[in-house]
Amino acid sequence: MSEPILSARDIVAGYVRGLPIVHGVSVDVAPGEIVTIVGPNGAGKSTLLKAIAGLVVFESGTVTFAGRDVSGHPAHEMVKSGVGFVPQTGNIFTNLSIQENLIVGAHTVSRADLRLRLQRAYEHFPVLAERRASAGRVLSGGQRQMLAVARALMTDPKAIMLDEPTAGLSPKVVADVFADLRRLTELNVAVLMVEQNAKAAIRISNRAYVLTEGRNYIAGTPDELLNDPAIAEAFLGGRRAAKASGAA
Amino acid sequence: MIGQAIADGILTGAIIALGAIGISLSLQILRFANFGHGDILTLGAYSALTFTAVATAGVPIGPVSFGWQFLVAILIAAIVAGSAAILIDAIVYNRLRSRNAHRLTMIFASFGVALVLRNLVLLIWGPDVHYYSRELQIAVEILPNVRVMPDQIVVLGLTFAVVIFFYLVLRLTRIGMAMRAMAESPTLAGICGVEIRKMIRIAWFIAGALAAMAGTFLGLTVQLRPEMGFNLLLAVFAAAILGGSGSLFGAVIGGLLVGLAENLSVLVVPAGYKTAMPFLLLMLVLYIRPYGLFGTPERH
Repeated sequence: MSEPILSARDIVAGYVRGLPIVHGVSVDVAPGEIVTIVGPNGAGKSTLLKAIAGLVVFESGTVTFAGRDVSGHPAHEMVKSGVGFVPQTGNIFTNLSIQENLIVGAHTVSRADLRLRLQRAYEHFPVLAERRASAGRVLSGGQRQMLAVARALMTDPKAIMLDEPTAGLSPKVVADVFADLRRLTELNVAVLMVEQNAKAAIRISNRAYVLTEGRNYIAGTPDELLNDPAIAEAFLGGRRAAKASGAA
Repeated sequence: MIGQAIADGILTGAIIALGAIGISLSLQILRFANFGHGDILTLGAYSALTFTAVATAGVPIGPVSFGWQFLVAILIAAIVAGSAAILIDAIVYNRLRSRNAHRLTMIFASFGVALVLRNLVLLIWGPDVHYYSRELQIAVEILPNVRVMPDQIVVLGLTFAVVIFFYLVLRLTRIGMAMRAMAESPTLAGICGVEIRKMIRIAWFIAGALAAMAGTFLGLTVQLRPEMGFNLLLAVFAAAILGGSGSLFGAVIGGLLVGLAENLSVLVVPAGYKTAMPFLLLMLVLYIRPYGLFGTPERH
């Protein structure tokens, strides 16, 4: 792994001060790398992303981005620093048109750059260009996810965090979303995501972290994690192992 | 008779609509029912009075009762009331918000703000009735048996100009889009880089400025009294809820309907029941559409 651009160290965070959900988690992401965080429900995966994004109570730890300390910065400052975030639910404005969603996504972008960014977004996601005047609420699940990613990319982030980007999507659309994320890494964007769809996500990742009960459990490359039967059994659905033992 | 009632209803309704836009904004962006809004309206009206007391309302232009000085007075009133709204937010509501106060706490605080403002107006300007201008106006017959004052026509024109301007700002400017985005989801707006506190200040300024305009228009077409805003408040709330809280278009239509309901009702029921009519209408509408005429059901 090259020098990380986004680095979180010993993060303690939660929704209520004094009642943390994340107890000292550390993660790193380097430019052009996809890093996935997996783990059982309640492991604090989403809370960790929200803590970095400046959306929950940040109790202690440090977040550095491109060499700058951005620990506990509010959401609108994180965006300005260059960290984009796509939440799991409510990640588009349903009452705004697609174009308006993208313009609000580019709130920190200068007027001169806005036109170019819109043009680029429509080139990347032609489906959005066709429906630019439609309200967000009429989009399908996959299109919403596409718009949410396109919206987060409007600021030209150097790192993007996604909270379960494939939740509730059909397998075909899941593959499209993952392909879009891979394309981002070609632009040297650092991608940090949380996924329930753990195996598929780890396969397209450079590295993955497993969290349990708000703590780092193990980290490794896709090969290391997918080929470890204990990890597969405990955290990755373990279907293959279960099937094998069932057949025997 | 009906024609006159409709004309009066539209004129009253336009003023109520201006107030309802502010209520609608605070419901959507600030997320509480602001009972201090009526007294911001009064403060605006009296700020204009201070200006006209010094500079006069000006030499009447044509048939209206005021000159260009009064237009400056409206502008000053809008700035004073808008700034006062921001100041009140900094002193009262922002403190409550930062302590995660319950919505009801905010509502009760706004009652307190209302009382303070009303008494402040009473203290500074006294309990007497005031007028911007003592010029006599002759009503003009715009349709057979429908007479309106020239001032009322100007007020109606100005109201619609302001509403259209505000609509265009919300639709076409980046600030307007950010405000609409924040109304839907403050969290997501923050993730997009929208600074929530700045947007809240802008929302307060707009609500205060529009209330001041409603106040000066009410003062111009009726009179100025310290309780003028408070007395209008329930009709303003009825309009905002009727239209569907959070919908600009709804607030305007709600305002007009409330104005019409009040004025048309006197044709069939004693005038004493006039102020109850908007609420009867409100109950009827909410029975059929609980989220108002132009509102959308709230999702949880």
